[in-house]
Amino acid sequence: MAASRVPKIVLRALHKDYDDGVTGRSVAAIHDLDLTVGAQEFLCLIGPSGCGKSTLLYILGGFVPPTSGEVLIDGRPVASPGPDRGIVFQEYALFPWLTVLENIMYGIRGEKTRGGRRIRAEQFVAKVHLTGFEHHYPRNLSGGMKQRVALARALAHDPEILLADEPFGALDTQTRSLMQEELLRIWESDRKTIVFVTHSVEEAVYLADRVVVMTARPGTVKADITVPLSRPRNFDVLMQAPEAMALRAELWRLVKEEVLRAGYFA
Amino acid sequence: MNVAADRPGAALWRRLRRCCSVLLMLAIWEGAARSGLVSSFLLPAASDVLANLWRMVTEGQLLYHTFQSLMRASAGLGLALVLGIPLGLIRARSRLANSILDPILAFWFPVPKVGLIPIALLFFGLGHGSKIALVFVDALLPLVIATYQGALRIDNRLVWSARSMGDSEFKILSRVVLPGTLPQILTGFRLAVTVSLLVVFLAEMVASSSGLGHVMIYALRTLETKDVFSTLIAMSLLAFIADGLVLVLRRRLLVWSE
Amino acid sequence: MKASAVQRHQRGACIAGIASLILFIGSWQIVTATEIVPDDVLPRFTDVAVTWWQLLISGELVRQTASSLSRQAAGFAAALVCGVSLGIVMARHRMVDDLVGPLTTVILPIPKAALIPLVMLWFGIGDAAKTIIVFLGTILPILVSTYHGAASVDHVYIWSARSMGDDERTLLWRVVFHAALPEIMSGIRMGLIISLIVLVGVEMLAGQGGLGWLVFFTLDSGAYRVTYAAMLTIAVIGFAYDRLFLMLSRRVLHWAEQNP
Repeated sequence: MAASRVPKIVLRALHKDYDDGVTGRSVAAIHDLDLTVGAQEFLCLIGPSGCGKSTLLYILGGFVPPTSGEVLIDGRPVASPGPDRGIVFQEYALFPWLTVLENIMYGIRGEKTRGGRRIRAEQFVAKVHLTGFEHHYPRNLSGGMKQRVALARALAHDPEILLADEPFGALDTQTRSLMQEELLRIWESDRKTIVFVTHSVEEAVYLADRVVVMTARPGTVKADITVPLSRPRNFDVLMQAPEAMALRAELWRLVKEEVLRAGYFA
Repeated sequence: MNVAADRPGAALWRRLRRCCSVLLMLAIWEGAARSGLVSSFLLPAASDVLANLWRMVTEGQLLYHTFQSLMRASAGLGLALVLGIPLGLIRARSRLANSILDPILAFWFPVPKVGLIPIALLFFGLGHGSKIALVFVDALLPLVIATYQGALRIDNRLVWSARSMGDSEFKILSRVVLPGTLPQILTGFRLAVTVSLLVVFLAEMVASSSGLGHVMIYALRTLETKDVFSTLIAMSLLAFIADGLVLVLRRRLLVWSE
Repeated sequence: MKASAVQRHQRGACIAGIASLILFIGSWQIVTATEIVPDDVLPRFTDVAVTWWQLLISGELVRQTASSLSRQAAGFAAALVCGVSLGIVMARHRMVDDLVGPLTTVILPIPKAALIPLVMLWFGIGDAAKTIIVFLGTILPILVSTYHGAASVDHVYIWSARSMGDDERTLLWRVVFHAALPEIMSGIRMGLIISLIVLVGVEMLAGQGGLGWLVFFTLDSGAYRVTYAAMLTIAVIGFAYDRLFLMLSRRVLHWAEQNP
C-alpha cells in the first residue's frame, strides 16, 4: 500500500461559497475541508447528494476556484486545469464530432508525429477492449462503450492523477460491474492517483484504498476510513468477506446520518 | 446550482457595464455629429433626430402612416393565422395532406417572397390589397410550420384518452391539440410578426403612397436625412413594441405550462 | 437490395415534389388559358417559359443573375466570417460580450428593410451599398445563433479539453466551434434566406441591374412576361441555394445525433 513522503494531493482549510441563483444569497458548499491523498492511492469520496463532493473534484481539477484554502499537488498550488489531472465525467463528455480514435488521440501531446499519436491511442483502445471500433462515432456507441472511450481518453495523455465524477452512475448494473472490474484491472497495471466520487457504498468498498465520507452541505470530512481488503480484489469472494460487510454497514450508517441530517426525509 | 458562478453581485455589475456600453455609443454618436467630424447630412445628431421624430408626429402625419402600416400588417397577419393554423393542424393529423403540402412549403420556404411584390401589384394594384397579400404570403409559412411541429409533439396518449372518452374529432382538435400546440404557435407567431412588419415596410418602400415605408423612401428621395433616421426609429419602436406584446401574450396564454 | 427507410422517404419526397410542381404549372396554365385571370395580369405559363428561354440565350438572364449573386456572395461571405468569429468570441469573453452585445440587442429589432434607405443614403446605389446591406441583414441571425450555440456548449466538453492541456485559444477552435456547429449551421441557413430577401429588396429600390431590378423595371415598362420569368428565376435560385446548403449541412454535421 503506497504512502510516499510527500502526499500527492493536499487540501487545507478549503472553503467554497457560491451564489444561490434563487435566493441571491451566498451558500457554503464546502467548509473547512482538509484532505490528503498519497501518490498512487485510490481514494473514494462518498456522501449525500449536494454535499459538495463533485465541487471538491472540480476544485481539484482546477475548473472551479476555491473561495479560500490551499490546493496543493506535489506541494505546488494549482489554480487551473492541466494535463497532469485527467477527468472522467458521468455524462461521458466525448466529443461527438470525433471518432473513438480521434477522441483518444485528442490529449496526447508527448508523441512527435501524428502517426506516433495514433499508435499510442490504438494501444489505449486495446486496453479498454474496443479494438474494431476506432472509427465509430460516439452516437453509435452504448453507454458502457462511451465510458470506456472516456476512460481511455483521460488516461492516454498520461496524467498522474485521475479524477472521476460518478463515472458509472449512468450505466446499468451489469455494465457497471464490468466497468468497475475493468477500471481496477487498468489501474493495477499502471497505478495512478485516483480520486473517485460515487454514490454507491459498495462501489467505494470494492474499488478504493481509502474511503472519505463527507457531511451534508456545507461539506467537510466526516470520516476517513482505510479499506482493509487486499488486492487484487475479486468481487464475489470479497463482498462476502466479513470485513467488507462490516465496512459497508459502517459506511452506510455514516452516509445515512448525513442524508437524514440534510433533511431529505424530514 | 451554477458551480462556476462568480463573486456575489457580479450580475449587477454586468448589467451596469452593458448600460454603459449603450450610453457610450449614444455619446459617441452625439459627439461625432455635433462636432462636425461627420457631416450632419450623413449623420444628424441623435438629439436632432429625436426632436425631428417628435415634429413628424405632431406636425407631420407620422401617426397616420404608422396606422396604415399597422393596419396592413395586421390584416395580412390575421388572414395568415386563420388559414395557417388549421393548415398546420391538418398537416399534422393527416398524412395525405402532409405529403401534398410538404413539398409546396419546402419549396416556398427559402424563396425571397419579396420577389412576389410585382405579382401582388399586378393583382391588387397599388393600394392596401397588395401589401396585405404580401404579408399574408410571408406570414403564412412560419405559422403553418410552427403549428405543424407543435402539433406533432402532442403526446398521442392525450389524444387517445380524449377519444376513448367519446370526444368528437373536432373537440379533440380544439380542446387537446390546439392548447398543446400553443407554445409552438406562439413562437411561430412571433416570427410571423417580425416578418410581416419587414414585408409591409419593404412593400411600402417599393410602391405605395402611404405607410412608414413610403415615408422613409420619400425622405430618401428628397434627401431629408433626419426624416430617414426618425422613420427608422419609428419603425424600430413599432417592431420592438409588437414583439414585446407578443411576449406578453405568450406569458399570459402559457401561464399554465411554464 | 432493399432501400433503407431514409432513402425511401427521400424518393417519396422527390415524387411528391415533382407531382406538386406539375400541379402548380398545370393550374397556372389552365387558369390563364381559360381567361379566369386576364392575360395582362398573369401571362400564360407557356409564354413565360418561352420568354425565360429567350432571356437565357440572349445572355441577359445570366448577366443579371451574376450581378445579383456576386453581391449576395460577397456580403454573405463577409457576414459569415465576421458573424461566426464574433459570436464565438462574445460567448467566451465577457468583456467583448458586454461591449458588443448591447449594440446587437439594439439593432436586432430593427426590421432589416428599414436599413435599406439608410444604407442607400450613405453608400449610394452601387454595388457597395448592396453588398453592405446584405452583410448587415445576414450577420445578425448568424451572430445570434453562433453566440447562443457557443454559450450553451456543455461545460464538460470544455473542462475535458482543458484537462488535456488545451488553453483558451486552442479551445475556441477545437471544441467550442465544433460543439456549436449545429446551431451555427441553422443560423447560417437563416442568414442565407434573409440575404436573398434583402438583396432583392435593395435591387428593387436602388436599381443598377440584378434580378430584383429586372423584376421591378419590367413591371414599370409593362413587359410582364419578363417580370414573371425573372421572379421564377429568383424563386428557383432561392430554393436551390437552400437545398445545396441543407446537403452541405448534412455532410458537415454527419456526426450529430439524428433528430426525429
